[in-house]
Parts: sequence; structure tokens; C-alpha cells
Amino acid sequence: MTDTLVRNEAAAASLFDGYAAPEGCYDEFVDADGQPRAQVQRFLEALGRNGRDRFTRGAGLTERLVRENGIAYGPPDAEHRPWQLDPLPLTLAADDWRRLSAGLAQRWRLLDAVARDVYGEQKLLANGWFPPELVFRDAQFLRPCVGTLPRDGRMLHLYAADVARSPDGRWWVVADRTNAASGLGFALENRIVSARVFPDLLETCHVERHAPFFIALKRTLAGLAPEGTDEPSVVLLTDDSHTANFFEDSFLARYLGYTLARFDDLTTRDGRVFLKTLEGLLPVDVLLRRPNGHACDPLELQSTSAARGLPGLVNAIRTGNVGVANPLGCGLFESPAWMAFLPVLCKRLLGEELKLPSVATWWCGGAKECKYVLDRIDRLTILPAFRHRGHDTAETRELNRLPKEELVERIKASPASYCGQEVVSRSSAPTWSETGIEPAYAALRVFAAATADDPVCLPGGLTRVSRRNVPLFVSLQRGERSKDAWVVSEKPVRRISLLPTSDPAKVVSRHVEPIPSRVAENFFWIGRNLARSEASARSLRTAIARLTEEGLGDGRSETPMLLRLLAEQGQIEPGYVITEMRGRLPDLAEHLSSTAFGTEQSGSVRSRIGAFVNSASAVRDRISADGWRILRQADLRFRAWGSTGLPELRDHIDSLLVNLIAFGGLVTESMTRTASRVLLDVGLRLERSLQIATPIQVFLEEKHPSSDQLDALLEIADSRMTYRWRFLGPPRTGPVLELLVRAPDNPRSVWSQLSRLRTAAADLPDEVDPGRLAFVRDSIGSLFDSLESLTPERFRKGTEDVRRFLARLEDDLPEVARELGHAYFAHAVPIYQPSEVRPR
Amino acid sequence: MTVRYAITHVTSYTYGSPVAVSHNETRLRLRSLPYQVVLSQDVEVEPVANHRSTFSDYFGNAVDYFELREPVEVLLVRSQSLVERSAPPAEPTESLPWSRVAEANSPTLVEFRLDSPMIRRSDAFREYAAPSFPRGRPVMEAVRDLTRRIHQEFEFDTKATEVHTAVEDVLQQRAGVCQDFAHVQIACLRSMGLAARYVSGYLRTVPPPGRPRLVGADASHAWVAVHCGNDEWIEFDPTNDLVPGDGHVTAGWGRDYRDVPPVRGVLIGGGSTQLRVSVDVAPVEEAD
Repeated sequence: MTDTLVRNEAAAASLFDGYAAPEGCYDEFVDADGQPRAQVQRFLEALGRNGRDRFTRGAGLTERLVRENGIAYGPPDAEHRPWQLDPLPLTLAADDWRRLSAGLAQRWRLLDAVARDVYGEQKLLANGWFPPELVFRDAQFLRPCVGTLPRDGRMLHLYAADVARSPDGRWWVVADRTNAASGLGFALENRIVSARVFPDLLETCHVERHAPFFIALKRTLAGLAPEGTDEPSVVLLTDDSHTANFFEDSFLARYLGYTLARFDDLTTRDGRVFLKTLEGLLPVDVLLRRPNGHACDPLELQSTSAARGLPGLVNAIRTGNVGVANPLGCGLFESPAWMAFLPVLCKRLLGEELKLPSVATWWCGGAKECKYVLDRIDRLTILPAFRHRGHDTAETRELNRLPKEELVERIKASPASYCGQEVVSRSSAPTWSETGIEPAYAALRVFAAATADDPVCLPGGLTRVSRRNVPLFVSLQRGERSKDAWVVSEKPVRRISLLPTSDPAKVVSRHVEPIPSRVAENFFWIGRNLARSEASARSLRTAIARLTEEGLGDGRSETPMLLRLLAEQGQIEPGYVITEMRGRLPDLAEHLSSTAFGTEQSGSVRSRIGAFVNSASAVRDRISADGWRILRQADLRFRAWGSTGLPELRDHIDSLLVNLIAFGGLVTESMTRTASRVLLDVGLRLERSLQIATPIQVFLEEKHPSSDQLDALLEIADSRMTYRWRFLGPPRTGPVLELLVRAPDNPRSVWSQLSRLRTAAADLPDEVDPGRLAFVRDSIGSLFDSLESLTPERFRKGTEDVRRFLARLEDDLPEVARELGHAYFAHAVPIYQPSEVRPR
Repeated sequence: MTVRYAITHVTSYTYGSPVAVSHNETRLRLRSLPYQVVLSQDVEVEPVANHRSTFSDYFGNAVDYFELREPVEVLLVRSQSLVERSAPPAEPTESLPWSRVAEANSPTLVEFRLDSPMIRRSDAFREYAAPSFPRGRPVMEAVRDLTRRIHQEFEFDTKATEVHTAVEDVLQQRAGVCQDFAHVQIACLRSMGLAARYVSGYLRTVPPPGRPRLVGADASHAWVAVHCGNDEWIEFDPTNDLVPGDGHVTAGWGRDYRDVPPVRGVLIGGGSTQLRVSVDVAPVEEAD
């Protein structure tokens, strides 16, 4: 036994052979003698004999999970930087964590008390416990919010601090995050990935769970609902889907079971907040807020006319009809100037020494402090005294790059606008890379959630590591990689799930989640974009097949039609359709393979996939993990290459079509028939009908299509097998048209699409606009009737009737889509403020 | 002397296209003060609002909040008040030197000394104010002098500025309306280190016999209050070069116009708007 253990250790330790902690800082992994710290020892033991292999595999799996889950910091539609998760966790000893979390809890009590004073009675303020300038100079002080304390009397429901460790092993706060801290979603996602990769390690290392924190947070948020609310509806208010944190917001919303909403999903009336949904307005009791406080209500909080936000929100808060966490205005306490006063405030207010101190900070608003900072300007970092969220990293960087004389001038011109801060030192920790273990510098963001008494801290937090020892800039964007943080407990930890098992009734009775109109609109577009992507891919594949089989010969009768179709779909330069022009354009094969990966052509496969992923990203919180993985694969496949030969392109399209079919299948097989599913169906069926009509119309421009042409058409319409199965011999016009348009038993026929469109339309919720809805249903019904009246004889007679019908379909269905849009979808109407009369 | 006034303030918005939803706030109610007794007041909205409430804002001004949800083409806000106004207590005959007042340290005064949304302190304002503030001059005398100078050196011109004109531009062009003059004076006072606030209110429309009609009587009016030490705020009207007495009626105050606009709204829909305002401040006979 002992023998095995020794060998295990040896094997695991070899993984870290040659790891050298950098000089002059505390190392999280090894002690001063180069020996693994106690909690690291446990980790190494647990890692066991095959440490290196496991790790190599684990790292691969981590990377794949991160990529497939699309974890990213950045807008989902941009070429975002994927989240880099180091498979090697930061391990924290239990007693170390106890000290850190006790300090965090105390700091929370202090800041919460100060915040309650500033937005409440203002006694500390009036009695000069801190310089009033800290409040009155800061644009984040929101006067309309004074006197609107939430129901639980707390101001910091969610609090975070960025901490760093000095060489002596003590933790220091680099920044307080009191407004609407980022990173919780990422911390959660990191844990979920590491639990997938090393489930047994978390168990044997007794890693403290995250769930108790989230349970506390949920309970606290529920407690903010107006009095007498039975089952509070909580909404996670996100900035919008183009901001950097949308991914983590949607992830967090899904995990907590909250509806994710943007400002335009909400409205206020009668002093209450409502969610605009397909079923009408649903009351909202609590907002977990992510946007800046001052952006939240253009009526009361914004002094410029740039109107955004939710007019009437402050009024709803004031009347006690909605709880907001954190309350508007809490951003004030993120300003670095406060740090200079916390030690004194802590002593006076709590009668305790500040356990978790800030990195030494001086506010230049005091004459003595200003002189102190100016005297040491070479050794200090200069910060704006008042935080400008989202801009402060750049501001600080710019300040500290100024020539010293200029910096001194700036400070002298407006001392109260600046702080001096000691340079932050960080601890080091090993990071994993393919070439081996390397040291990096760590920053940890720790979180606390308010409760009725002491806050609950998230064990661990979000660790960011950087290879460079850049001292100061704390922001999610700046960290190069991330780590899960493990608090290694002495004893086994209790397994707790987010759903309280003691109260099963609650779980069962959970009502159907409301669907904001914007979300519904995105589902409608997911359906349409799925059909469009598929149509583009199929036509392109057919064209490539014909072109590669017999060279690029114009000899084949279907080539001109295929080109015309591709041009019609916006996949290629229209010039290729005109034979005389083709000579002047780049080689067709080259054009095809490069445009497929580009967005110059609006109908290119890349453009279509892009739109598909965009509409899905906007409702990321409502797409299943499997669905998302499929989408990511499709997306990455058409991002990576840029240009390739036709055979490879064809191979990519084959795989893409498999992804698209899988996504469609997932929708049919696993998606609950909610209103969003219905809208997805409507979008999909409507678009498919149109997408079948286009190639038929193009091919029927030929009076008597050849059998090769008809064969290509069948292939594009995914009905080749069906035709062969039903008819002998080469394809003939009548039967092909009948099969593609009218055959009820061909799942790809217009008939099948319209029939399913009619069924889906019948399921649309009626509440919002019965008049428009009746129009939509009538239009579809009448289209379907006229299709039914196309009898088999008429297909044999010629192509005129079919073409007339398809033309009508191409007119009517876009109209149906427009009416649906008017009926359901919340179109962002610009908000503005009219001119005002000035006193004279 | 106490004068009783009936005040009617009507604001009408005519929208280019119907406004589907609007959220509005008015600060049209008068403040109750030792020298100003509000007997009655009412704010009427036409069409009838779907939802209304009132509250007191950060500076203690009464606010009416209302929502309209039916399409509206013309919005009418009519406030009617009955108020008894007398002159504020006579100004202190001996006031502290202005520099002593500027040094006095009280947390609650800080926000009236700092920059506010529409007013930034600067050397330009300090330079303009300086001749009125020689060393040791009593604060009252200094501010009276500044008030007089603004009245003399600035031209009243409704065309020169609009509601969002920067106060620096007003100083440069030496022209504007009462809001601009109040802002200039506040900027000067704060640049000298004094605490100053913006007061919105009304002037008697038709002057008593033998006295001139005051400028700014046909709309709402604005002037300033300066903290003169001893917890006292004294008002000055740079547009008319006087210390407000029983001819002024105070509605509310804040750091600058932004804190106390009479009517403010956020609209969904609407297009271009046309705005009309009428104000009538008439003395009425007392019943007894």
C-alpha cells in the first residue's frame, strides 16, 4: 500500500519535474523549499500513477469542451477569443480559504454598511466619516436612488473582490466589484468543465462545492420580490447579445433558472416591470442586473438624450414593485478612492481591523496624500479615483504611459480625480502546456452573496493567469488564461445540488418559463436560417458534384441552371451566369471554393451559417448543450479554412449537412413544444417552402428540361432516392414536379412543408394580435387549398400551373412572415426625449 | 407684505405622429417655505394618464410621475396653484468675508460647490467673477455686485441660446435668457469656492402699479441661491438684478437646470414635437 502510494506520487510528481517557481513571489504550488504544499500533495496523490497520461488526455478534453461549448469572452457573432482554461486548477488550502473568505465577508459587511448609509440616511456622510467628495464627485452616485433601499435592507447582494497574494503569503484586494460583477458565469463554467474532466479528483481532493453559494444567492434574490409574492419571477437583465459578457450571462441565467432579458424585452406600466412575451405581459418581481446603474432608466438617470434602458424602472423600484440586485448606484463603491478610507471606516463602523486589506492606496484629494503620491510617483501606479466601468483599464494604462512630468501636471490640475496605488505583486502557479509545466502569475476574483446575516462565499472563484507579470490591470479581458480554483477541504464535502431536494413540490410545480418576444423572434429565425443554410449547402454540393465529375465542362446541360441557381441564392457573382462574361472572371472552381468561406456573397454557406449561429447565439441560454455543440461544429467547419479545393469543399459540405440534419433532428426529437418551438417550426417550414420553390422555378425556365437537369433538381431537393424508388427510368418532368410539389408522402415536397406550416400556425399563441393571426392562418390555408387543387392531370399537362402556383407562394409567404413579425416581435422602437422648455 | 397668487402653468406637446407610450415627470409643484405657504395645487394631465404617482425627489422637490399608453397626439399638462408669498427674511446686514464662507467645511454643501451636469467650474469663470470678490469683502456685497454685473454685461436675447447651450458659450457671447444667467452666476460662485444652487420658479406677470414689469414673467423663471454661512441660503436674480421678494414664487431647486426641469419625458414613437408653454401669475384678493 505504502509502496503504491510512493510510486504514485513519484509518477505524478514527475509531471511537475523541472517546475521552477519564479523568484520573489509566493508560489501556490510549492513552498520555499520547493516541496509541494499540503493541499497540492493531496492533489498529486489523487492524480495517481498515470498522472501524465491523464493530464495529457484531460487537457485535450478540456480544450474540446471549451471549444464545443463555445465558451468565449466576447460577442458571440464576432471572431471572438475562445476562453482558455488551464486544466491544472489553482488549489487553496482550507485554512487559507477560511482566512480569505472571512476577510471577504468582513469587507462585504463594511461596504454594505457604507452603501446603506449613502443611499439611506446619509449619517456617516453628514458626519464626515469619509470625504463627501467620494460620493458627490462620482458620476456613479445616483441621486434618484437615494431612499430606495431594497426590501431586505441590503445593498450588496452580490459582491466580488479581485485579490492577489504578496510574497509573504497574504491576500490583498486589488479592486472591489460592487456594481454587477462579471465572472460568476465563467467560474461556474470552469467548474463544470473541470468536473467533467476530473470527476474523481474533485471527489478525492474534497473540493468545496459551488452549489451552496448559488442556493444562497437564489434565496436572497427571491427575498427581494415585492411583499406577498408567492413564486417570484426573477429575470437576469443583460446588456445585450453583442457585449462581451453575453455568453456568461446566458450561461448563468440557464444555470440559475432565470429568464434572460435585455432592456427591450421589458416594459413598465402602472409602476411595475413586465416581460414582453408571446402570451402578453408577465410581471417581473426581481432583476439580477448586469448593465450599469445609470444606463437603466433614461427618464430619471440619464442626463443626456442618449436614451437607452427601461423608462420607469426607478419609479417601480421606488414604489417597491420590483427588487433590483445590486441596487442601482452601487457602482459608486468600485471607485479606487474608497480603498484609502476602508481601514479607518472598518475600525469605526465595525470596531475591527480590516482583515483583508486593499493594496495601499492614496487619494490625491487630500493635500498630504497628494504630496505623498507625487513624491513617489516613480514607484506607484496612478489610477483614476473614480471608476468608469469598462473604460478604466484603458484609462489607467494610458495614464501610466504618460511622461512623468505630464502625469504630475495632470494630477496637480485636478488632484481629487486621481489615486496612487502601490504596485501589486501576485503569486505564481504552474500552468499546463503541451511542452510542459510553466509558471504564470495568478489573480483571483472571489465572490460573496448576501444572506440575512453573514454572506456566503463562493469557494474558490475565478482564477486568471498570465505568463507576464503585468502588475496591475484587473479585468477579465486581460487575463490570458483561466483556472478553476479548488478549495481543498480536510474532510469529504457534502454533495449539494442547486435544486433543494427537501422541497420536491417546488420543482414539480415550476411553471412554464416565459418566452420574451425577442427570444421568439430569434427562434423563428433559427428555423429560417436552418432552412437557408441547408438549401445553400445542397445546391452548392450538387453544383460541385457536376463540375468535378466532368471537369468544368459547359457541356453538361444542367451547368447553366446550377450557376443561375447559385447566383439567385446569392452564393456566387451573378456574372458567372452569363457565358460570355465567365472568361473575364476568376476561375469558377476557385470562385466557388473561396466564396463558400467568405461573407462577400450574402447567400454563401459561410454567410448562412453565420446568420444561423447569430440567431441561436442570441438565445444561447435556451439552446441545449447538444444543440449548441452541433452548431459550433458547423460554425467552426466554415470558419477554419478560408479556401480549399473543390473535393475538400465538398467534403466539408457533406459534414455540414450532417450537422444541419442533426440539429433539425434534435429539434424534432428533444425540443419541448413550447411557443418558441412552434415559431422555429413556422420559420423552418415557411423558409423550406420558399427554398424548394426557387430551384424549381430556375429549372423550369427550360421548357423541356433534360433528364440530367431533372436529376440535379431532384438532388437539390433531396428527393432523388424517393424518385428512384417510385419511378423507373430517367426522371421526367411531370412526375418530378409532382413529387417535389404535390406529393403528400414526400417529406421534402412543398405539400409536406405547407401542411406542417399550417399545423404549426394553428399552434401559435392567440393572445397578442388575433386579427393578424387570422390573416396568417387564412393565407397559409388558402395557399394550401390551391395546392390541393393541382391535380395529377395538371402536372402532366405542362408546367404553367405549377409555375403560377409557386410564384404565388413566393409572393404570399414573405407577406405571412411580415405579418407574424408585426404580431409578435418586439421591434426596438427608438426611445427619445422631446425638447424641453427652458425658464426665461 | 404677503401676496396671494393664483398660478397657472400650461405646457402642451403636439407630436408629429402619435406617441404610443410615454413616461413623464413634472416638477411643477411649489415648495413650502417659511416665507411661502402653498394653499392648494393641482397638476392635471390631458388625456387622462393611465398611471400616476407623486414623490419627493433627492432635493425635496415634489414630482408628478405619469404614464400614457394610448396613442396621444397632443399632451396637455396644466398646473394650478394658490400660494401666499412674502419676502424672505431681510438679508443679514453684516455678512462674513466671502473667503471665510468658501472655506467653511460642511459635507452637505459639497455637492453645491462641485461641478454639476450642466456647470463646470473653470478659470474663465473665476476670472470673470474676480473683480466682484476682492479680499475680505463680505459675501453678500460680493454676490450682489456679481449679480449686478451679469445683469449689466449680459444681453437678454431669447435667440442667442437654446436649452442645452453650454454655459461656457453663454459666458463668451454675453447673451442668453434667465436660465443661462443663473448658470453663469452659479459657475462663477462655485469657481470662487462658494456653494450655489439653481432655483426654478415664477415671477408675478403684471407688476404692482408704479413698478416695472419684470423680465421672464411670461414663462417659468430661474435664479440662484448662494450659501452665505450660518446655514443660510440667500437668493439672487441676475436677470432682474435683485434679491427675490414677494414678486417671486419658488417651485424647486437643484444643482442646475438638469435637476429641476418643469417637464421631462421619454417617448416611444412621436417624431418631431411642438412645444407651447404659457404661464400666468396673478395676485388675487384674499377672501377675508
